[in-house]
Amino acid sequence: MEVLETDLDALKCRMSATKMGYIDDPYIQYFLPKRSIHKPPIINRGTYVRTWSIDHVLINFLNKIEGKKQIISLGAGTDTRAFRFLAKLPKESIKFIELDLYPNCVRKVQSIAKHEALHAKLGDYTLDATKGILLSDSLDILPFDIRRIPEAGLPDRADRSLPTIVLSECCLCYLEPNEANSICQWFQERFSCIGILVYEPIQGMDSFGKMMKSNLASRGIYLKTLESYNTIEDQETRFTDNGFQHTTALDFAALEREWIPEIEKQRIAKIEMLDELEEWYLLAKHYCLVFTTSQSLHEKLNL
Amino acid sequence: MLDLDQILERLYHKQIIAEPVIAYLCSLAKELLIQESNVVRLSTPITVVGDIHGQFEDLLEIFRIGGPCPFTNYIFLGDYVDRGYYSVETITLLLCLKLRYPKRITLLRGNHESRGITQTYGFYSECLRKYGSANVWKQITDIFDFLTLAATIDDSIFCVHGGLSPSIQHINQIVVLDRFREFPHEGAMADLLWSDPDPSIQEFSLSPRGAGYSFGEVIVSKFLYENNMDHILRAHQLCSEGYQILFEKKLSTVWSAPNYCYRCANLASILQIDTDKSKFFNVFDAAPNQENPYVEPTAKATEYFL
Repeated sequence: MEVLETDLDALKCRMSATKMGYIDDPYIQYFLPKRSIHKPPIINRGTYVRTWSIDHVLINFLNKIEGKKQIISLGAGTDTRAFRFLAKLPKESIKFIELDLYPNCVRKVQSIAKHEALHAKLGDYTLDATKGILLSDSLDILPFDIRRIPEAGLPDRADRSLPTIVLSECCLCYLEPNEANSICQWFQERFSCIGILVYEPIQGMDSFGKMMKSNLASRGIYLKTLESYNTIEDQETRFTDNGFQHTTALDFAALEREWIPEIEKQRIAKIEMLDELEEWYLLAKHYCLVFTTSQSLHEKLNL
Repeated sequence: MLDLDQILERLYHKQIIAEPVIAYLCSLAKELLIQESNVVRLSTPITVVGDIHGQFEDLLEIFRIGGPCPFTNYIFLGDYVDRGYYSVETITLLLCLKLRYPKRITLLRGNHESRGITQTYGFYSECLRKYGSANVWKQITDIFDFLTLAATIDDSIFCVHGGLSPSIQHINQIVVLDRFREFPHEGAMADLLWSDPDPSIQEFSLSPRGAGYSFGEVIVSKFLYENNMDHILRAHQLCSEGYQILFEKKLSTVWSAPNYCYRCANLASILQIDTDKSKFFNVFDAAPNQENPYVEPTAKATEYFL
């Protein structure tokens, strides 16, 4: 299934951005060792903006709210965010639940089993690499097809009473729109203090977008929700329709301009010079970050 | 003695030329290019071509649309290599055409004709992949040091890859530069190859690219007045429509790589200037082979965030 391959692609991008110094990630080496991967500068920059912006929203959530918080990551794959956060934030206050398809979970749990630098972060844990399951106080990895959520619910490990953010970092976009929305609605109806953080492509209708769909289709990758949620406004309406009270959505060109501090912008500009800024703006405008919250989470975050 | 016409024939069919032949072509090219001034004087009729970036199929398309060299006079504004998958074939064909028809084709240096940039943006790895070593990369990047910096057409149009420099008010200042070297990140040579026009400013400003400057209409008008010219032609910036005209027609950008990086879905153009000085931007789309998945896996190799 080609969707599984998208995790490897993202992993290579993060590997390249880490190696060049855009991102600080001491854990990624355990998932793709002995490979020297150098992506083009424009891809490194995009990977940096993607990682920075998601980290920014989640760290704000974890720091601003008292007590235990939960992050449910859909299609997490080899993402190392849990390890990076557990290394720096109080372990007792965070619970990560990562859901992905079985082959990805098996691979990830195998790597965790093999490397002390990873499992040392977890406190008490049990794992079964052949089943792709990891259970601990701070991180669970569970093989689960998220399309089953509306009918079967989540695995028992998820706690509906905790303030929760559901993260979809290019995951829901591979589902049919009605499947993706059913999942979002399910969370909105059952969790009292909930937010959904989505990173995915937009603007599929212009010539760049059409070329993107065509190029990805030749790899068997289809962005199924792209037709329905073409613009920032479409994304905002999407979550209002799913019952969320507050939504912030912006494309990556705007995000880089408005969110990333000047000192960070200067730091990454020095790592690699972009030869073509117009190309970067064009690419960045075709990706968005959407953060939507229930009223109670909105209030807790004092947004 | 190698037969340039035979080599050209192989190049038009996108065949890789053997390393010793490339070495020989480069040694001939050095002797030819060293004689060119930093600012070459050209005449109409002439066709101006912007960035190619290794998109060899689109270079062949340009010759189909504009007419083959030598029957059409050409000036290329630089950026022959990097990003596309056929930088080797592209630069070799153009150097060979220059050797065969030196008065019919002019090759300016672009900011990608640089050792540093080509190690980041693809030409170096392409040479490694196609030749198994860095020798061809070294030979060709040595030749880049000999490419001229600018040109004038009919003493009225100034051509350069990037744009203007605060260090250069008069074209004679370009003539006396020492161009035969890798250009540093700062200074007049870097500015000529890296600068961009900016309609939102009047004078010079630091470039968001990190090299060269942004320059506004006042600078363009001053330069044209000082040098008794009426237009600046340059490339260097991606144009979705293939070209862009700014500052009340005092400056144009020509961009000749359609569907840049097989991702941007932009149009491209070549600028055809006739003897009566009339200008025609001949706009074109990606060459058919670019979309053929059986020729090269360009679609599959194109990068996105997944």
